[in-house]
Amino acid sequence: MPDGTIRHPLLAYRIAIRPKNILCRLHKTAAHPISSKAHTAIPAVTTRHQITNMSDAIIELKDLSKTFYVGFRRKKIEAVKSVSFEVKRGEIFGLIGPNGAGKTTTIKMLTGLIKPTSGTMKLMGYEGFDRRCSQKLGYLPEISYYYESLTAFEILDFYAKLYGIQADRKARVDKWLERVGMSHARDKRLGSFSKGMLQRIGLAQALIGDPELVVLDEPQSGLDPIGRRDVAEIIRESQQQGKTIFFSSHILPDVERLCDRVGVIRQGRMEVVGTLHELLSAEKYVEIVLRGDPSQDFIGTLSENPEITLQTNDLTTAITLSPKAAGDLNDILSKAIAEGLIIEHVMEHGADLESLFTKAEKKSD
Amino acid sequence: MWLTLNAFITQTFREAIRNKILYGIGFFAIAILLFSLVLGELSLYEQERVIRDVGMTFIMIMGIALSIYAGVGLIHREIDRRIIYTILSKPIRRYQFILGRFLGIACTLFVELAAMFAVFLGLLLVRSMSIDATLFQAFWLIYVESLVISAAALMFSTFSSAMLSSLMSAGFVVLGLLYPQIGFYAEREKTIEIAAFMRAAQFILPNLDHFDVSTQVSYALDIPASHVMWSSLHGIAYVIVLLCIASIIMEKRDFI
Repeated sequence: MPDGTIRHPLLAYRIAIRPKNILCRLHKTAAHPISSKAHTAIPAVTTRHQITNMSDAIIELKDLSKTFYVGFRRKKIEAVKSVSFEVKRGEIFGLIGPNGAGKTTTIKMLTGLIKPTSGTMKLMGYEGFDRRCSQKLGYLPEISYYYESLTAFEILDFYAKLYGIQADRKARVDKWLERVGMSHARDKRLGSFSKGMLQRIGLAQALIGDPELVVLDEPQSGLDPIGRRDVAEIIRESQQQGKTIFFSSHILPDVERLCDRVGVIRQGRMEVVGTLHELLSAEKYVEIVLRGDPSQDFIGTLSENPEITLQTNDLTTAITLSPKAAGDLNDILSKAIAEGLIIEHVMEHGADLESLFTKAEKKSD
Repeated sequence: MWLTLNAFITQTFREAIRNKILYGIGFFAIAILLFSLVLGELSLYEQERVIRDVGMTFIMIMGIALSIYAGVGLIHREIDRRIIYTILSKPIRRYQFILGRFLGIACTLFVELAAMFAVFLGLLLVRSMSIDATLFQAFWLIYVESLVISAAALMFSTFSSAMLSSLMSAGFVVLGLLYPQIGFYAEREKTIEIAAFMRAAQFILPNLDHFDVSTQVSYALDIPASHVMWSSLHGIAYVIVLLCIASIIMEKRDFI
């Protein structure tokens, strides 16, 4: 923090302070999983900026619903209820929600495996699920099983043929085996592969057709930390190549680290959709703790602002700024310095996806 | 289109030849063929007839068993293990999937039955017994019959569980083999409803009895070429109808 500027990678939030005059300790809440990624996340921020210039939607869902009738008694199950959202071309969109929320059903409707009961779906400009979409679509299902008696090369060659790849098929298969770190197992049968290895093969089969839209259902489940990092890298690279990534995950820190926009689905309904900035900024607040005896004038000015709450005792004054009052931070700190108060700390309580997710759950209950 | 079919045929064939269960079935079939030699030895003056009859009958039984196993197992395994998700999300039509799978099974069945037939012919040669065109015609008819059964098994597996599909396929085979008897009893049945039901069953079922030429094989009688041709056309037409039904079911089906 040599220039005295605190940057938050996701919230694009700045607090300008004067290090010479202020005793300042910056705290990030312990539960904030993204704080340590401040520098590594910079490329993603750049990409986000690029995305804002892209307005065309690659996925448009409007009031999409799916009802299943199961068993002898034809029990009605509404898996997805009037879900509407858009995914812009070139972005990474994360769909999160608890088990049975409707994530996989939504994904299966996008990939043409399930037909919607009602609502409209536009994919890559085509109404409904058009077979022409699947030429530009890569899909990794939640649990990947493949033909155990085939080798890694044979299985990718099989999928490449399904994409109609003829000319450089073998070279492309080898390239993707290398890209997912499976070259060493090129001629080994899938029956001997671990779950993580199968997941890498799954990722390769989803990307081998050079799709525009990549739909990944829990791509990082069952992977060790290195595997998760590799998958995240491939996802980022794919985005840099202009691909759109739509993925669901239970691993919220990964979603937070990778996604440009997020949708929270619960009980078949989309609770919230937006950029991480939009979703998280509504939840954050800043806390300032001042030591010393503030003047009545200082206290009075702050008390008048409904976006600011004050708590005072003999030694300290705690000031809490809501997101709307965040712009007043510099003024407040300047006035505090002018009053001769010591700034004990400025603490940013940033919300994370987990708290947002939990809040959405409570709201639904 | 061809590349897609090629993908399915190659993959199905590779799976089959690497499947240990099929190796087991193959060894069992060869053991049975060898057993036919023993039976031949036990039957005085009828050795050749018994060996030809038992040998070709076992090839037919193996053809039926392999058809049901492959037809039911292949699709069901793909649905059960969710491999189908990655396949149907690719730029292929669902009828291509069914057709590709069927052609893969057809190739595999041909190789498996041909291997058994070759072993059988080898046994006949070793025993200095005659090899005539009737055997080859019978082999062809067994193969076409196996195609019809595998198409039926494939069709059943598009909408039912593996167990149910196997049972339905077995029922299909039994009723198909009893086709002439169904017609016989339908003519003599006095209750109109039962007679109508039997005629409807006759209309739906294939006449698998056409493919049974065991008498001609046993006595080395000529099989008219027209019989082979019409039986083959009947079988192929039936296969086409079954594959169309399977494709329609697949097209309408949700993969939950």
